[in-house]
Amino acid sequence: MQRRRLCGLSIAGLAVWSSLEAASPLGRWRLDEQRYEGGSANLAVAEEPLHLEFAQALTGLEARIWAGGRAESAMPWPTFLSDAGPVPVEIVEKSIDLGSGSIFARYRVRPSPTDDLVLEVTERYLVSEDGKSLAGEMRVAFTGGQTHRGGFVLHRRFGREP
Amino acid sequence: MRRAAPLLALAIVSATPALAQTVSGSAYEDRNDNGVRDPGEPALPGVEVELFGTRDAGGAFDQTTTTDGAGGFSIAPGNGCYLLLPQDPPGWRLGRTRDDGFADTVPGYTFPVGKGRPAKIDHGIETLKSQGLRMTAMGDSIAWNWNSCFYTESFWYSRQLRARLACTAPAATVTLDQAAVKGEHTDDLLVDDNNDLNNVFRALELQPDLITLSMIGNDLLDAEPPANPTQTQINRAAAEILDSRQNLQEALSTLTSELPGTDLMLNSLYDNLAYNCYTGDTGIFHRQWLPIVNRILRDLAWGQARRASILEAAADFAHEDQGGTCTGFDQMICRDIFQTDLIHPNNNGYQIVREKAWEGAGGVNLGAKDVLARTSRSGEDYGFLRRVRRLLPRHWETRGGASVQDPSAATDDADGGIPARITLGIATEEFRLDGFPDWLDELQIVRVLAGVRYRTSGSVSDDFYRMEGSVTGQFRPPAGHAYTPVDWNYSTPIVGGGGPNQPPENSDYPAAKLLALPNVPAYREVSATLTKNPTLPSVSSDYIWPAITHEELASTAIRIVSAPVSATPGNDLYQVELDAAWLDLYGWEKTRPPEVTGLRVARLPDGSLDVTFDAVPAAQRYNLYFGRLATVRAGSYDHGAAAPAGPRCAASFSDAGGGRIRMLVPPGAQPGEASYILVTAHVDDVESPAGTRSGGEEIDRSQSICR
Repeated sequence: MQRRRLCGLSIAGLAVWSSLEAASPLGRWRLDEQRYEGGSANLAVAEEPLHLEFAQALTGLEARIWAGGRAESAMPWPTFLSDAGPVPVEIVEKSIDLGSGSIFARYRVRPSPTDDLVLEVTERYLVSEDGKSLAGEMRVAFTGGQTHRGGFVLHRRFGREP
Repeated sequence: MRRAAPLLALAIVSATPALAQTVSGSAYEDRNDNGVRDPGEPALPGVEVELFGTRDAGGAFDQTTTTDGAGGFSIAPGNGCYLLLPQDPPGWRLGRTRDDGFADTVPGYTFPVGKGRPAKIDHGIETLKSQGLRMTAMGDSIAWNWNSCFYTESFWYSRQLRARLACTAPAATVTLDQAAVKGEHTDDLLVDDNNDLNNVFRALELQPDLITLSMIGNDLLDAEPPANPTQTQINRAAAEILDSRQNLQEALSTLTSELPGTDLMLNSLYDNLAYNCYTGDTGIFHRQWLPIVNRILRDLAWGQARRASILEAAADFAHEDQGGTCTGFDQMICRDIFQTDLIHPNNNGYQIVREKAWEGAGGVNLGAKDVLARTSRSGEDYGFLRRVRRLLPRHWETRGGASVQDPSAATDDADGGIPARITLGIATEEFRLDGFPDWLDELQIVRVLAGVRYRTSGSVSDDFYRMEGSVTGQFRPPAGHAYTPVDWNYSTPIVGGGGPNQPPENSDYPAAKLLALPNVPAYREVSATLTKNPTLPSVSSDYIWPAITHEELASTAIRIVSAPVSATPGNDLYQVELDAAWLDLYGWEKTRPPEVTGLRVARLPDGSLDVTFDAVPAAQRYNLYFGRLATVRAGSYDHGAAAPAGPRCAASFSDAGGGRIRMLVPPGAQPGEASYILVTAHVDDVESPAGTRSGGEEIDRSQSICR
């Protein structure tokens, strides 16, 4: 009887430990689903999937992003990349909370030096309870000078990679 | 090496026609409304064509010519930048801008111009001559010129269009209002706010000379169904498409009527998820509905009281037809590595948009200023459609408790502006007009505009009204209707936007009060292309958009219906004063056969009537009508639907010899009272007059019911 009880406690303890572990954003993620605003069409490109990786490094937590199978060409997250290459990003706020599984970044991008357009980008994701997915949104607001010029929201879901 | 020289010389010689530096084309009657001059389509001589601009060699150029007997024109301005303006002949309007697709391997189909799709803006030259043109670029991210790939500058193609317009008139000041807002929906055009310039109310204040509008993509992306959509998801998207159509109709018609000197140009490209069209399948919903939305946009532009120009970019972007064939230029959509875009044209794509905007304005560059360095331009062909008849309704009725004073005034367009005064409420009150003549079978209908002239009295704030047309008289689908690509079009919006929180399937704007121009103190004319569902024959590779038929005119209705939009219903005291409603038929006319002559009737011994008359050349069939003698003696006719005996349509006949035709009417088919007889003939499916009154006026054609 006592043994059984111990066994039960042990299983419960294991379950709690497993849940905490799964909530961690550490590891590699692949973009499986991307929807625009209220649309239900999946706009993610399956042939060239987007990857995010969060890892512990000597210098602290490291976040990287790359597309397709080119992990060697990964860039620090967040990054804004045009066809001509990376565009400077001014990071206003960035946090990776291992305890809650929450990922957050707010940054500004000026995509063209000849234009006054500034993108105010907010990315916010949360690891699911079972640890298998990282879901959230990328919200882009456009400003020019002092003027708000609209924006859009991409709803994203990443799947954990083995 | 030596032998190569003559070949080179030959190549140069063959290129010499391009040095002519001419602009040539034609004006023609576009009888099939495809924007392309097809064999057999008649020329339109005498059409005024103006070419205005500046030559590279220096100096302004402004020449007006008229098309010759073959409809052709040719102007030799030299290299430079120009606007071409063919004037609508009285009673005609420029037809559809061509939107046919070409595979990107077709010789001469060269990026970024692709196929020339010329259109025009009517006031551009006149405005530039007056030294100033104010342009406003309204819309969403495509109007904004956004992409995430290699961003150059906001409003790039609009700036380029502005520069090209300025090139034609260096002394003029050409300015650009950068009004478009990324991510906005068509609803935003109709919300009266001051957050930006991207709504019709700010445009009415700015009074620009040229408005370009690119919008509808965000409405649809917000309802874009997944790869294998459920019917519920399709219904949601279809409802959004219809709501967006209403919004755009209201926006375009408001700008048209309230800014009479302003040119409008609508972009046919709203978004594109067909990037890999040539190598993979487009999503099924997009493939099925993209051409429908494009057609809606083209119909919206064409149907305004003053035709808006079309920036026909969609046809030159890669897209897949219903048979799986790809046309247009592939890889013109931004596919940024980190997938924040995937929708907008990339910079190559925006070059196409720029070229089509220039063509939509009637722009022509020759020489170094042309993107392909062309020094001559041929094939500037303009197809026109003639308004062959304006039809007025002959019947009215009120529904749902609407109250109407002088209702018949709305059926009379020659009463000096006396209106039907309509009081609606906040439920389903409706004033309906129908009974449009359906017997004018000599008219070959290509397009139909549904139009209204109205004003309001009192004050409208939120108990709004809507006006719409329907080919079937059924303005909404039955509850629970399953929308399909060939069954979605139940009514054509004329006046009134979709409204806040519309469509119910994808509601929005809970705080908005109005989504339309409510108070109209002076008479305003608004029109829309009357539309119906496309068909999709299994053998076809794309949709067919049938013209409205005469039979459908009989069931067509225009209605004014209540459409309250806020939570404070019932507090508006106003009337809609409808002066007239009409259908404008555009197309062409066949010749009517002559009246049947030499009619004689005798009774045979067996009681049959022996009816003989002169044969009508090329007659396909003859029809015999009975009417009451008492009616004709009273000055009227009743041989139609109320005849004493049914008409004998396509009746049996025989050759009576001597150029005469004989019909026999057995006793059982004869009326039982004193009657008159009329005989008509059909030639080329057009019925001859049944008879004429003593003054030469044709007797009531509505009674000729053998269609």
